Amino acid sequence: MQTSASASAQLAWILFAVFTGLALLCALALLALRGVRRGARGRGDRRRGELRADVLDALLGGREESGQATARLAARRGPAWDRTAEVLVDLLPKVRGEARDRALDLLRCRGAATRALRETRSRRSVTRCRGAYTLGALGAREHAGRLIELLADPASSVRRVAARALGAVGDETAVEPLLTLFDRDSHLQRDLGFALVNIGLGASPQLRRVVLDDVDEAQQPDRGHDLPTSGAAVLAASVLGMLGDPGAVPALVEGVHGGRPALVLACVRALGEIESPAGLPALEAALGADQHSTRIAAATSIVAMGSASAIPALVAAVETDDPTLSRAAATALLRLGAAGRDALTSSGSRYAAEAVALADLRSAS
Amino acid sequence: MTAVELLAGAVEVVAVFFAAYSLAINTSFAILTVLAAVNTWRHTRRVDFAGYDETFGEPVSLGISILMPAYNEEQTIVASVQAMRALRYPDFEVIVVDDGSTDATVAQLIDAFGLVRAPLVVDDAVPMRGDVLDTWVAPGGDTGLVLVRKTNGGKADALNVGLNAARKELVCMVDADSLLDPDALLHVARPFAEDPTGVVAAGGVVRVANDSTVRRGRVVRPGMPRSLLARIQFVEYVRAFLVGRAGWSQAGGLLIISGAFGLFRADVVRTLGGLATDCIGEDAELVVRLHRWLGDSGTDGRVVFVTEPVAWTEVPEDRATLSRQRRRWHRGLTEVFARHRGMLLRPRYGVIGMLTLPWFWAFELMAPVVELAGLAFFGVVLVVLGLQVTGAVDTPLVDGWIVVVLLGCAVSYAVLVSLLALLADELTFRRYLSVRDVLRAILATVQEHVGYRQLTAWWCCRGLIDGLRGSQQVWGEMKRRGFSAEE
Amino acid sequence: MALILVADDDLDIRELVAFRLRRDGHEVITVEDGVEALTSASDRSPDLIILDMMMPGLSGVDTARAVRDDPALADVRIIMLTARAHETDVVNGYHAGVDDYVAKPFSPRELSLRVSSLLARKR
Repeated sequence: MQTSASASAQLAWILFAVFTGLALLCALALLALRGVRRGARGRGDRRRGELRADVLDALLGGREESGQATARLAARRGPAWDRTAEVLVDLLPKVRGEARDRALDLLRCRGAATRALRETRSRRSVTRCRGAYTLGALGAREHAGRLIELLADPASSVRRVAARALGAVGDETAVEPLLTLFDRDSHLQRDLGFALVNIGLGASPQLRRVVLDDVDEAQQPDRGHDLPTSGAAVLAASVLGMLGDPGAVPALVEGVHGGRPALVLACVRALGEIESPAGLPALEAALGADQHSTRIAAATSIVAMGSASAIPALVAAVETDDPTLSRAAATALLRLGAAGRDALTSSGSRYAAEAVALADLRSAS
Repeated sequence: MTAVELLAGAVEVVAVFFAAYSLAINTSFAILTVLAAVNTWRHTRRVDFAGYDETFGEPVSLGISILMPAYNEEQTIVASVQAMRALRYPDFEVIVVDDGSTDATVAQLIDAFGLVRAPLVVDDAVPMRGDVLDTWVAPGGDTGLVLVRKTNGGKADALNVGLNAARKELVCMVDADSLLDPDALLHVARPFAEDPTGVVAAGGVVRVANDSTVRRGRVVRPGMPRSLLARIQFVEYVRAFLVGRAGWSQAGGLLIISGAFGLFRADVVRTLGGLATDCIGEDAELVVRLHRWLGDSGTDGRVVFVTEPVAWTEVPEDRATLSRQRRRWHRGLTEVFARHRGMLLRPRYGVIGMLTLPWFWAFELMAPVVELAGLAFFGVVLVVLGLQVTGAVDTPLVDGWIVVVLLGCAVSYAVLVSLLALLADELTFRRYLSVRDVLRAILATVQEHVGYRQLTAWWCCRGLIDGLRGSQQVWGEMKRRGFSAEE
Repeated sequence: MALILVADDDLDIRELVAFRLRRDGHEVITVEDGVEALTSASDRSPDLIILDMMMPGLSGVDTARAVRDDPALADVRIIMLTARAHETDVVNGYHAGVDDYVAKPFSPRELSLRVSSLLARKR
């Protein structure tokens, strides 16, 4: 027992020494890290101050002072230029007009786009992100192809930044790759939607085609209706609504008539946002859809077009006393003006009373 | 074997038990810290390009209802509500539920914001104990700020009423004295936006606000607290959030979100029936019940932790308040465990049931008991050692100073784990503390073991006893109610 | 010319706006949040206030409302800088007494024109 005891005693001492030693190491590392970072940040702040005066002159100054300041900035080399580029890129999303054009010119003449392109080939995902972000901020349309390639990057952060950058760049060749990305990365839905809306009406033809393709698939005799709607088609429909493209109405009407439930809902909402009377018949047909949410969306969309034909359906919705549906229906009725308001006042639902009271308060002030 | 040898053997066994417990708890903490560091590292990378400013230009974002229960807070209520209204998020409403305040809380609100009465619908999706007296909105029918007045029923009941008045898809439950980061909603709503059907609840990091510069309900400059008690708690919070939340989140078993700030899917909370009004730790109880429901119903849902500071809290700086707080917390934890012990070691509750809950039972719930027992044991050993050394007892009962060294190991390991947590925090966060503050934090990791640990262990044990006694009382009441319903 | 108060928690925006307006010949004070904006406004009585919609401490709308509630500041013009143009916010803003909106990203030149035209208009 003695030997085992002294062995365990030794073990205990060793452990104690190890833990204490490691603890001391940690403490030192902590202090060292904080010291180093503190110093770095202090220096960074000072340098930025010197830089700012020149940047402001260059972007916002009159022709002469701007020219001189720009020349000074353009003459910077190495890390000094890197900092300048960083400041300029940070400012790009915040301004429009002449200030932005000047910043872009300065960045481009120093090859910022080429540099960002190089960064997108880095092995580190953070650098690739920065490169993609910069390409987007610069509106580097010529490098849209590289951004599309980055949509297949192994790092999800890079894929997200690339998607948004493609929106900022606004190139239509990105539409299909963006929609395809949805299947892999459905959680990027918002980023993809944002990007597609930013690309603008140029994206509309391809978006329409995606919707129509999904309708075709749904029509196929044996499997059509059992497969789930393509998420990309739903996204395409919502984007068409956000774009407000009247030319998309025929495709969306097709979606309402022949699509699967999720697509029908998206198309109904989109038609409401576009507010084109050509969509009205399809919406009225959708008032009789199976899904509750689709019926409400149809009613709301009809109201958005100023048609009173949906009033009965909406009153019925208010009286379901389901919080979301009732409130949405009440809001829609109020938008119809006197007719809708009268329908609400004669309803006994508490949600109707709430909506009318709030509307009165709004109009009183 | 002689009696003495038996006794010596027993002493050794007990010593080994305490040593093994200490090894286990600290090693698991260390592993969780590493996991947490990975989690935070990954997250920090993403935040740089999160494009939060762009979020505002987007038409699609999940609405948030902020539920603020209030009781007798005339001094601070207006400032708190103003701070909430100033959060950066495209679509949210603030619902203040006045729980029958007897002071000027309501009058202050109505006056400061120009509130007007309106017949807002407070439905009954979730049972309410109190009665709703009336409802108010901001001028012009602006439902961005709503006040619901009700009869007194407790914080949980007030939150339930808020839940019934909420109109948005997500609900955020805050304490009236929580200081939220302006971007808190943006950070914690992001997981929901990315995974609308999968994420059911999310929480973020809560930090210590003592001696930080606070202006109008916002922490402008984080600082290191001046009082020793607050500093020790500062380290504790870093450890608890890195280990207890981020680490477990990475391991897939996040159990509890802080009560100071949590974001939930409104429909899920309604399905659960809201918060429990008969439980002290109602916020933790909700999340545990949420996990239970996920397991029972087979729903695919995740509780997520976002490694961004979202809320700041003032920690107690005097012993009396601290002791009450710890006792109450541990009582809450005990009640939650008593209520949901059927989840322990059941595969249907996944990582939560098989790993997290047992870990919490062993290393959070029972830890104070073990610590106190260890302390008592150590005391006895010292006495015996003393007797041996002075020759009063001539048979070697205790082997040398090995027990003392073991205690030293336990302490140094625990200090090491705290330092690891601080280091991981430093590596992954943008911190604004001075070098001197960091030194103070390091010292606090050691100072924690000279009195603080022992005191909190004692308070927690009392809380545990309270909880055990309390749960019997509650059960007794329910039993009586059950009988009277049948009569 | 005029005294203008600029409130925004973003340093870049403060500097850009201040630089542009100073070039136009105005005197500009910058503050970081709504509370400071109120204090400065009552101390210095500016002719025009530019507020960001979302600021820590006191939101843009609440600040605007507070400014309008102060009788001494009844003639101050208010421009709101906003990253979004949600209908409800625009409506709330007008109820709070905001005179004009400028969306972000903004053109400094356009802002300068709007400032001049607002200042020319008498309340």
